[in-house]
Amino acid sequence: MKIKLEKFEGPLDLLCQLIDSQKLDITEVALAEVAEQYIEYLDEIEEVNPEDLADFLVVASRLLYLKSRALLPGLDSLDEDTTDLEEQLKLYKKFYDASKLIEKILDKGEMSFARKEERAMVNYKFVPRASLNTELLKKTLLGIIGGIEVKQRLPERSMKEVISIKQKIQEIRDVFRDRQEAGFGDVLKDSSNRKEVIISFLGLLELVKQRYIHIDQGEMFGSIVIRKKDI
Amino acid sequence: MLTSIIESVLFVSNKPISIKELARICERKKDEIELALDSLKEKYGSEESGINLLQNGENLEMVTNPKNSQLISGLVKDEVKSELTRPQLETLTVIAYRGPISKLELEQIRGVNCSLILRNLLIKGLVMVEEDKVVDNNTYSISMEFMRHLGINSFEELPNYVELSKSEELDDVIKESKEID
Repeated sequence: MKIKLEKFEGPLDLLCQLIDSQKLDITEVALAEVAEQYIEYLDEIEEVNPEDLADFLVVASRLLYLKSRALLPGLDSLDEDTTDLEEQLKLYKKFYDASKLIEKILDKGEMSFARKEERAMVNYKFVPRASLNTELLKKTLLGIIGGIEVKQRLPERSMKEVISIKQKIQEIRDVFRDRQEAGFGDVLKDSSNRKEVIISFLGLLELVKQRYIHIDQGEMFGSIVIRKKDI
Repeated sequence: MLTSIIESVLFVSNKPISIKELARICERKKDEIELALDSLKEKYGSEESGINLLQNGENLEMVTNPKNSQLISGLVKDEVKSELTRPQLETLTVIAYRGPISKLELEQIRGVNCSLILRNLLIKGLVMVEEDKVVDNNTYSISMEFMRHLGINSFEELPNYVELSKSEELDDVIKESKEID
């Protein structure tokens, strides 16, 4: 099943459809269950307006939190706002359903008409008040500026892109294309800096999780041997 | 008689008129006006009435019975029909049930940024805005025009209005989002 993101009005809409397609009710359990699919969809979109994406990511993080809570029941008492997403989604669903009813009403095409406003035949002229002067303009502008709530600026930090875990995983898979066994050193040999070493390590962990490889370390600080799992 | 005066004023008026204005014109108190309006609403509320009395918050307007729309639309041919997109429809639905509503509350329900969509709806004249001194704290409600499109005389006529307009969970969700801010 492939669904393109543009088809969704927003993250809640995407969630609703995912849960619907699994024939589940909106519950915390159901949310945790579709978390992975939700993130897969986000993965598939390549270019999207960053602001729109942000809304989707907020929901993604809440889903991941729910999922980790399902896996680690000990987290339970930490936070009480976990049912938020469930409630929010149920509420969204109600309005979504209501919008379908509204659509039906509109489709009936039974509308009322009011008297038309007659076009003004008078030619309006701009007559400034006698009190209008530059001082008043200044005051007005200051009033407008005063009404704007000062937003807290978050300090900007930029990340230097080294290499993505995804790329790294592909590189590691390439190493094992024609061999069964390699040392951690083989995986690291092209790494140019510490960050890349860390990413390689994360990549290895991910591959272990996917049961693609198996890691052995004979003794503490000994060399790490990586073996490809037989499939 | 007050009811008769108000009826005549509404009849000649070519744009929505507020209870406050009616009170000024008739030189009577607002609650007297409201009482008179109740009997007018009853008079124009029947299925057979060719004229309906539409109320949107403080504003009133005499409109034609939506059942006659087909014939009447042939007579007044300037309504430009343009299709609503799904997100627009969804946004209008939330505003209809919960208006006047702030952008923040609207976004809390829909889960997405609604700036652009509100601007488009304002341009189309389907939504009205009430400006607040604090920027971004404006409240939005449905316009008279969109009410006429729906063919309703008050929001209470919307399906499941009571449930959706006064949902406790909604108030909870909105309250929580405010606390976070």
